Amino acid sequence: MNDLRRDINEVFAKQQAQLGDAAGTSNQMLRAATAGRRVNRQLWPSVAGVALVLVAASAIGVSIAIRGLHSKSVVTNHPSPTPIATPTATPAPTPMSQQLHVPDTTPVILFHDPVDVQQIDGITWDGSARGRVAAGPEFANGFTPNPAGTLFGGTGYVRDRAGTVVATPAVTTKGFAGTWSDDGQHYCSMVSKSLLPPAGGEPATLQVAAVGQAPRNVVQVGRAYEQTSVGVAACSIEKDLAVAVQSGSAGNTVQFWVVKLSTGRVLWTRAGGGSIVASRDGQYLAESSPAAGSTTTIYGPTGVVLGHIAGATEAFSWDGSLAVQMAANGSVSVVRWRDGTVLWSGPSDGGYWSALPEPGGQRIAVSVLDPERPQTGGFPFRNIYVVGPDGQAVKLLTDVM
Amino acid sequence: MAYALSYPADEPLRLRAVAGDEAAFESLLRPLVEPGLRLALSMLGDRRDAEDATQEALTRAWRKLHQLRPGMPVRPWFFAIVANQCRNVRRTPWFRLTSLVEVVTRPPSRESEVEHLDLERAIQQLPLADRGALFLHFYLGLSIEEVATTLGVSTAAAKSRIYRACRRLRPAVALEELA
Repeated sequence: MNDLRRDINEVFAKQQAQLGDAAGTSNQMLRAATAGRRVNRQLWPSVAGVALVLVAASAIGVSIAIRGLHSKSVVTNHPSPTPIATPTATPAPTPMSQQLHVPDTTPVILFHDPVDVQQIDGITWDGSARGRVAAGPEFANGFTPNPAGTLFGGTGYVRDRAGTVVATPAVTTKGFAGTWSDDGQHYCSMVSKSLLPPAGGEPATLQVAAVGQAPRNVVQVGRAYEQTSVGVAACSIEKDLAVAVQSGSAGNTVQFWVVKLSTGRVLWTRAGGGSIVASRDGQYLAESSPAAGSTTTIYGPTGVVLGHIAGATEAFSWDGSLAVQMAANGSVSVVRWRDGTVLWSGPSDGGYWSALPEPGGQRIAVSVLDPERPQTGGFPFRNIYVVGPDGQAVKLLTDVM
Repeated sequence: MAYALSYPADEPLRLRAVAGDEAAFESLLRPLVEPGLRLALSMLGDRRDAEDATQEALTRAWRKLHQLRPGMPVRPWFFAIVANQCRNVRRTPWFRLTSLVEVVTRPPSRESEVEHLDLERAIQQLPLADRGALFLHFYLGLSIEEVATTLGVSTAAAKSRIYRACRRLRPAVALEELA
């Protein structure tokens, strides 16, 4: 244990070295705090820290670097822990210049160009097309695409793939404050009266808005506090549902509500202490225990318990039939949760990073860190696998960020 | 590395600070700013983000001083504010796509760095709260009780969190070995 403690501290010390002598910074911060001014770069002091770099993108997509973009290769099927290797790509010295040429409705995964984080690139789910989507300094701080990657939002804007601003939603925080609906044309958000709620909090209201239109109040649910609030785990126009989640001070879930968007009626609610992940349509909810060696309880549309699976659920496939599970040791797998069948196991040497369901499909993309490529910039190198319901996995991107 | 405070001795400072004495506030918090900044860095992985979170935590601490009751330890109280700020920054699941712990940002150049690369990666892959618990307990030297207060969980949960993190890093670690 002493060895581990020493080793851990050495790792932390190495990380902390970037701070150097922080005494000057500390004094400056103290003075700023008492003087009521800021020395930081926050835009909105009342919500400062809320989302410095609210990033973006579809679960996977965001910062995938095209640097090592490869043609896809089938890597594994059921249940195969070790994907086959793909050739190493030569890093691109310049940002992707070729435009993405696909119909506007074709789902794509959007990501930052690794050579220029101000540029957004995209790739189709089958890897058949990829290219540059848009560029601008505002993208360096992240963006949040809708499920199909046809629109993406940031601080005070929603753009289409041509880069055209199609909406300018009210700015309540850094980044895109909404949760995209599964139709890709609406988004849900939680609002409260004050940007900085008073002691004791204040009621929060679920809203839904069509892109470019004024939001509509759905229902008052949960409370917003100074340091915790209510978030939206799912927003589904197709199923007329939303899932609002009240967070606790420790980042845990205090309560969640499944709400009918059209009427504001709360269909069911539950208080809990774990983490909540909802399917895109709010039909299925996974409540993962916060304890070590956690298990996950899957709830159905009416709150009935449908099953239990090992590990913590990180994401669902679009139809909700598959779950991305992370085990206590950090390993990731794709599981058919109804019968517990493990369809695919991620590489044992790469840490799970994120997952993204294919809109309208059954595939799910899983992003894992590439253990062979240490991070050299603001984004980690990752490998992206697209896993089908039959366990077939395609390594869509290699050594991307 | 430990940043201990003598809590009884802090009481006069606390009273003056609550009354609006800026100098008292600065005296009370000054020893905690740097470790708070380091805590934020350990959770967010980026110096700029950490500075922003710590700055906001200080501002909130100044506004919320009235909540610091007599006898309440200052250190976990302030660290809890810092940790909450960090959680707010990361409350979107996509945040982690752009903010990474710096431990893997530099290519290994020395043998010792190579030896620690696996551990670095493993630490980076820990859940945010687990990594924070490790940092508080091991690096900043907080007691399990202080870690629990900082993270807003029970002592048992804090110990479990640290144990779980250690087990992920080195599976052979036994619970009894936690101090």
